[in-house]
Amino acid sequence: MASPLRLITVGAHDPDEAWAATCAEFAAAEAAMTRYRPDSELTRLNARAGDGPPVLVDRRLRRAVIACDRAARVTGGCFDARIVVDLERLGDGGVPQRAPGAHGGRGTVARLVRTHERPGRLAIDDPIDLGGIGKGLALRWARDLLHRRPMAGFLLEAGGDLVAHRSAPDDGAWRIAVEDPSGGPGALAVLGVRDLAVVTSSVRRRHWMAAGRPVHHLIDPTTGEPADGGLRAVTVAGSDPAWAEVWSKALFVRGRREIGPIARSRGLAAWWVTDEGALEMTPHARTLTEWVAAEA
Amino acid sequence: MTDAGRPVHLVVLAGLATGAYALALAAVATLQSGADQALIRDRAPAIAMIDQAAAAHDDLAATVDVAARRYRTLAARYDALGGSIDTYESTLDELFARTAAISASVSALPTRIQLPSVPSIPAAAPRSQPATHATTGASG
Repeated sequence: MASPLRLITVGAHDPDEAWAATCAEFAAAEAAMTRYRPDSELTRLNARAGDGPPVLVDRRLRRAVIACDRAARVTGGCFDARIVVDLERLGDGGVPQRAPGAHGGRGTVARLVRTHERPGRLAIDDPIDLGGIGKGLALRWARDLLHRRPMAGFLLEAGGDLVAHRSAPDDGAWRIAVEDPSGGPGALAVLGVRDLAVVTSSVRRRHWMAAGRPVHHLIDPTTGEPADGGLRAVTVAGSDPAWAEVWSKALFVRGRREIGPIARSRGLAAWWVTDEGALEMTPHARTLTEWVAAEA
Repeated sequence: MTDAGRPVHLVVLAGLATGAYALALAAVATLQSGADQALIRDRAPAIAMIDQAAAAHDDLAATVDVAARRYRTLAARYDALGGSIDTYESTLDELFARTAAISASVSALPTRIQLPSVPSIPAAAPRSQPATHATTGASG
């Protein structure tokens, strides 16, 4: 969350109103799902994690927690919002979500939602982080708002993740550059997409030193340590930004040896960059790729 | 003696003899009847088994009859298929012949082909990156 927003509209009757609606939706999503604010609903929910009573939460937070619960099961535990404990242990910023030492451990795949029998109330067993999937959900909800407005197309970007709808201003596909995770100035590839979300999980920015060693924010839930599977970035294109976010993280965690078979078996359009800087992709991704730097 | 020429004792004797014979005959008949009844009782299980065997034989005969009718039906169908099988076999023969001809042609092909030399082609100019609308990458 707290990502810079950018909206390009094509043929919109009232682009300023569309922009205002988008900003309002992201503000509401951030108020519900960020762990970088002490007054957010997520911070309040995490503080009650464990033995606390069910908390009355906004529908956005409720849907996000349920989405995380399902994502953990669908990805076999490779996506797990409970890695916030490991992020805090490694020194990642944000408002502390739980007292040090209070974490009691977790299984590989477990349900996040402890009980929600009463309408609007939610309880969780462990503190969670909704950073990535929260941004994906915010993009989904903002996209749905923009869909209801008359326009020929739009591109909504939130901190490197984006949703492309219909046609670009030149009536063609929206062309999206894939960033070089090693920091190079040029793009590694250019994609041409319509009606798709494009999401990237990368270690280019959120990395730091912890106890004298380099760490990053993409945690392997099975080890509690930064994923070290030989990848630097994974980009996934799909119809839904939240699930593209889920798969980009899950594939990153699986590493370079497993990412290809898994992505192909699920029919995902996925691009990934290895530690050596090589860009690889699935057959579905190839159909969306208009230009590759290594092939130019 | 009561009457001359009709001795009474002979008449009595004849009557006694006749009665004794009748009694003996009745006794023998009684004995024979008892023996026949015992024989009938002894043979009753065997007769019942024979009846069952006869019934089973009837069933078996009926089954054989059904099987024979089915066999005749199948034989008729097989006869009808015979022509088609002959056609398939002839087709397979033709296919085998063609395959053999192709194999012979393939084996006659050279294993290496000397391509004519071609003038060198200049490398295409590298395509520059097209203009983009956005960049996907790491978020802060």
